[in-house]
Amino acid sequence: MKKFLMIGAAVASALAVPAGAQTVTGTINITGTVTSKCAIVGGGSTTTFTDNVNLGELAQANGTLEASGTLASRFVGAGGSVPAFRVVCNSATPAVAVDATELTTGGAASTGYTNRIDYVAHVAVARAAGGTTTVNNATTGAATGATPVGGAISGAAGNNVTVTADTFTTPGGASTLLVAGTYNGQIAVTITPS
Amino acid sequence: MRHAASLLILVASASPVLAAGGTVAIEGVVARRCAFDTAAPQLAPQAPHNVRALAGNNLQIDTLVDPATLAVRAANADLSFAAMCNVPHIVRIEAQNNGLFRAGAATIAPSGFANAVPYRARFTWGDQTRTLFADANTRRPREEIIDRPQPTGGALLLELDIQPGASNLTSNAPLVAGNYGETFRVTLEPRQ
Repeated sequence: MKKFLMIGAAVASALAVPAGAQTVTGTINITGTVTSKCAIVGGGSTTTFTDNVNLGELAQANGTLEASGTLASRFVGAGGSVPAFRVVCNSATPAVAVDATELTTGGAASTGYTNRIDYVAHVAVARAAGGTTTVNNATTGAATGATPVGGAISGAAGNNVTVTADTFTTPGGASTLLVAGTYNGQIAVTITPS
Repeated sequence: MRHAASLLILVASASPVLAAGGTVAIEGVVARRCAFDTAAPQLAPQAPHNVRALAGNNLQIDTLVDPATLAVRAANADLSFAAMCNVPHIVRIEAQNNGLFRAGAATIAPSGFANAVPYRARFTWGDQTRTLFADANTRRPREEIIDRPQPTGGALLLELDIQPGASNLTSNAPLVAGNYGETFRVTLEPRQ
């Protein structure tokens, strides 16, 4: 009987050997996504920028179009400085489209006169890698579609999109007389992340 | 008469033989053990801010950047693991990246853009707290350790906090498009 009890105790001891210390690990993954987008910084809207350029008197004393260089200078200085904006795009391949429309009074001009002034718009975009990419559009042609900037747009502080215009002309040549009136035109710039 | 006396003696002497005795030894053991009650963490009752969901082990931030500025938007969440260690132990908290880094961000971010998001993670276990400040300056593992000299059970709490405008460049720098992530590993190990 005593022998039997001793064997039982030996078995119990074998079962009671502590298991190896157990280590456990838990994991937490934190994720977030930033989609490609462009935003206007510092304006009244995050999606559109607006500026008004008043070129003043468009005709010379003889009724023909003012010299193109003069109008181009007025364009960049009319508001005290060249129209410029800060656009932030977080993608590597943003693109710029430009659609400029001629200056006109609307309606039809009398024979021998014109109420249309064409020009070429330039949109210069500063690149993050340095330098600028300029996208042009002439009012005599179709809109310039989305044109790759060729790299990320500069994310540095300050304006990174500048708009200028030059090569002002009238249909029919420099001797064409301009109809009196108020002329309005527009340069539409669209910047997309890719 | 002599016979009767002899019989009495026999009975008296037989009594100790019938009363047998013995001992049964009973033993058991509780292994040195640490364990999580559930494999996945739980969101604490207080409402998280700017968090879309906690799905299993994945905490998804809702809107990582402000759409108007492309700078980081604030987010925070409190998570907890139900856990226990029945011996003195060590809690090892590992952050894999030292920030929320953009997936595949081996390339340098364009000038003026950020590609990682700093955060603060505060861990509480028992009456001890450790704070891990991930500055996102370099992509590398970070580790904090809580050394517990006594068994502990309850909620292992993680408080995650992302400040508005936080970035690895300058405050409010726009963030490059992409998927951002960080991984925490929480290990409970019995002391040797």
